[in-house]
Amino acid sequence: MKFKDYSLLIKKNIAVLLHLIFLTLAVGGISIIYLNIGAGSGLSWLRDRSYEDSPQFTAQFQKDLDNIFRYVSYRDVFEEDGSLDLSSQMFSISRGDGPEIIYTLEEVLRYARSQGFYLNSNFDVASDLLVYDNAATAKDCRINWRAYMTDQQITEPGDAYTSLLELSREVLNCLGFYYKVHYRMIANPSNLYFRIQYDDEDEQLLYTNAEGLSLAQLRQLGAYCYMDSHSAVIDTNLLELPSNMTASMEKNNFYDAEHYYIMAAVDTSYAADDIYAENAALYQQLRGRILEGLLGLAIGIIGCLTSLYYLILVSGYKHKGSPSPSLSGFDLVYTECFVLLAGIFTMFAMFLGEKIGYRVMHLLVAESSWEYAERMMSAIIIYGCVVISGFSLLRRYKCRQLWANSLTFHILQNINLYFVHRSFSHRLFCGFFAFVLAQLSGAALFLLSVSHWHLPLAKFAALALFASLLAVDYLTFQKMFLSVRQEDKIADAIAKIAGGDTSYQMELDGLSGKELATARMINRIGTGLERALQEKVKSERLKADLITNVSHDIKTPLTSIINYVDLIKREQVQNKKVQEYLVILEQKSQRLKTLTEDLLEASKASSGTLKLEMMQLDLVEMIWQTNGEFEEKFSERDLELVPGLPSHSIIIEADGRHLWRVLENLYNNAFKYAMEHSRVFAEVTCENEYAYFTIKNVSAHPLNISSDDLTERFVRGDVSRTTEGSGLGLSIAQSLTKLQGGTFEILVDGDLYKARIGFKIVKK
Amino acid sequence: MQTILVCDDDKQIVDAIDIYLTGEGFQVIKAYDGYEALEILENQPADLMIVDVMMPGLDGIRTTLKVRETSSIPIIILSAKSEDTDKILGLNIGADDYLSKPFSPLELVARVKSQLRRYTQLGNMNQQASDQVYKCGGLAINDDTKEVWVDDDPIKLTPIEYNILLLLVKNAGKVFSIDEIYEQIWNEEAIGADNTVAVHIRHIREKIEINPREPRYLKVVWGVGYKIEKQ
Repeated sequence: MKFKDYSLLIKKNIAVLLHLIFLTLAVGGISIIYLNIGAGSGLSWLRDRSYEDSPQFTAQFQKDLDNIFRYVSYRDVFEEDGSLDLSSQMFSISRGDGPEIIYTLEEVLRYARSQGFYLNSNFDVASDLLVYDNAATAKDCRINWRAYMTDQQITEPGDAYTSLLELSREVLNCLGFYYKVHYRMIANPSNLYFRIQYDDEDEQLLYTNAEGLSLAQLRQLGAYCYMDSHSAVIDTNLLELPSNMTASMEKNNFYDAEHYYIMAAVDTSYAADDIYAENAALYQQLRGRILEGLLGLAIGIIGCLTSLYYLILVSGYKHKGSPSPSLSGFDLVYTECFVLLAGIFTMFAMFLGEKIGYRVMHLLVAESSWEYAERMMSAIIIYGCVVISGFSLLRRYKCRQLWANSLTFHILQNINLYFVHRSFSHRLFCGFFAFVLAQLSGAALFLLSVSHWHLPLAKFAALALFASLLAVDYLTFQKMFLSVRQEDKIADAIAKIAGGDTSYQMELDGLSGKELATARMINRIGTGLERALQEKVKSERLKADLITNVSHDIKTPLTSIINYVDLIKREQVQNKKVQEYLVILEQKSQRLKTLTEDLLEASKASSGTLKLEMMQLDLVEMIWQTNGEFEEKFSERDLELVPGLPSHSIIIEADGRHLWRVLENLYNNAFKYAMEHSRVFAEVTCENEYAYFTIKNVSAHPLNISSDDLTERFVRGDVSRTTEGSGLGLSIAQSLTKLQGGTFEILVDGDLYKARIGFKIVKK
Repeated sequence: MQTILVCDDDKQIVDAIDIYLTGEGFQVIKAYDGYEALEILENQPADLMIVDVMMPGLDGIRTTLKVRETSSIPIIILSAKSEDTDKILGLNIGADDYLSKPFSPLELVARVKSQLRRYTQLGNMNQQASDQVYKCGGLAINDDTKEVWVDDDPIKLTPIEYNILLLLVKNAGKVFSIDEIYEQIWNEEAIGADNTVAVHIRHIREKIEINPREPRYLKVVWGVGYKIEKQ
């Protein structure tokens, strides 16, 4: 085996490997971004280039502002001259009808401690006691007032009663808020500076952790927010304003100060080591890692797509320069079966992943990321299965096997095979049956869906069914319409061919199925007819040519015979016998002459190659003329010609010369075959639209042949053929009459022979 | 003595024609194809030529055309072809008469004589013509003397036949129906016409035509009437 044969395989494997690497990169990128930034913030950090612009900062700032306002409201409760005053009064309660009891901070704290409550390092209320005694939780204290909640309005009778434990927890909670601000921002250095001031005529209340800093200096620190009661505009350089700020300011204006302002600023150099500095550092770190993740994701996706594209191109080709793609292994399974198997395989892989993959993953990944990792794993398994089966489908598509090797195709083919060998009526019946079945079942399902209209799936199904029913009806109509149109075309073609246009060929475009087959057969019939017609014309012409040539060839020697017989006659031979023989020779040569001429005429008349010069002529006059021509001849055999002609003229349309030939033959026939000393009747009669000429005579010989046979070529009244004549006379007469559009009849009644020709009367 | 050139590839036919024509007092020169005939004509003038159509080498039609280039002698075509179209072709390219085989020797002799008379005595009739002479081709009628000639041969006709012929010749080309002829000749109204006129016409034709079956002068227009062809 040469390297060349392997080169493509190696390339493919490399591509697969690259794909896997890039896939890992992309997955890694996604994981970094997802796990670090968490869900929700999306890619907004791309816009927030610094921590001050990030939502995290806004959230922190908001939280701190809230705390500051709480501090503002609690400071004067807990503080006396800048430090915590344990003797300040917290609340007053009464028990039953007992006297009013005022609790100081110290007493409250002590009670709280006795109940297990304390403030933890974050200044949140915590408790190490698991069970409270009933006395502590009994709501038996009626609140008279609370120093930390001056604006409390009691709306319900029950609200005024609470337990001492609850009250002390409230105090502890408030103290916690106080401490939060006091310790984080005032007692310790902070990056957040605030300055809240209420000005009154005689008094000035100032809450701040920036004693020595002017407003301008605070603005210089970086991010700030300033609100003045004299102005409706909030002066800030923050992207997002903290909420509740104005409302809280107004709420804390206990003494109805005329003027107040708030200034909150964050030192963006983060000089102090507080939560802002920490968050800022973390933010920068995160940003770096997200950029890395994004880069990985981008490279991974591009690499994945590129390698996938290459694999799509080469998939199916065994080695470089293969003329056509080939299939192997599971590519040969029926398409539908393959899709089904792929689905089952994917589900199996998912199952395995859940049972084994997750366990392994749980060993490697922190619990907080398990959910994400599980989802990622499922996605990867699905992706792998889809890609592998997709490539198989791709190879099928390349080999044109996607449809050709599908189960549906095979079934359809078998159905087709079944119907091809059935009659059309059978097919029509089955087709109609299937159509009706589809319609009925569709309609039934539609009704079922409508009856369950409240289900969303039923609505969808009903609409889909309605649409598909319409589609099926439309398609059926279209097919029928097309079929009828095709049938029309076929009918046209048949009409054309029947009309004599045998060279007509149907257009096969736009025909299909049975109609196409019919059209092909019609074309074949047309071609066959055309060929037969041409052959017939050709053979008729050949026959006519043959007869003409033979006649010509006979005529030349016949000329010599006639001439020399005549010459011998002139020699005045004395021998009686020779003279007798000469008479016979002369008769027979003359007969031969007539025969050849008649033969020529008969062939021309029957092949229709004669030229007709149709004109209007008077049949009565014509018969008179003919009678004139024959009267003397008839008298030779003592035949009396009895004319029976109307006195008026009858105009018919015919070719005079050919009609003369017809009459001549009929008169000659009468002359030859009529009994001597008898009468020959020549009559012209009119019946309906037709003029008939009839010639009647009594035959000299018994007519033992039928009238039809008489008009056959070479048939003569006397079977012995002793009389002169070619036997073509009546045949020629018949052919010529028919050629001119007339009718020709022979009637034989015993010895009475009757010939009748008829022509349409043009006018009387 | 008049010389006649007979040209046919069938030697027996030439010989037979020779016998007939010699018997009538003509000198006959024989040729057996078109080239031979043309050669002979170059050396020896002939008064008439009889030529067959179907011959090896130069055929009758082309021979006729060649002869017509230099000579105006009467040419009779003799052919086995009897179609109208053949006859029309032959007469159109310069032949004077057309006879189809097998022919009657007597008819041939008559036609030869007729053509020669027309050729040699052309214009003679004009000299003896008077006001009362009607001519139509070879047919001439002198109404003064009541004489009729066909190709200079006097013809004997009955008075009725003469009157019919005169009527037709006077109106050459016009077709007369049986009734018209009857009314003109008998000066009576035709009541229930019969074949009298037709019989007379037939008799006239037998007298003035060489071949009554193929009349040259008195023609039948079938179903309409009769006429003398204008020539």
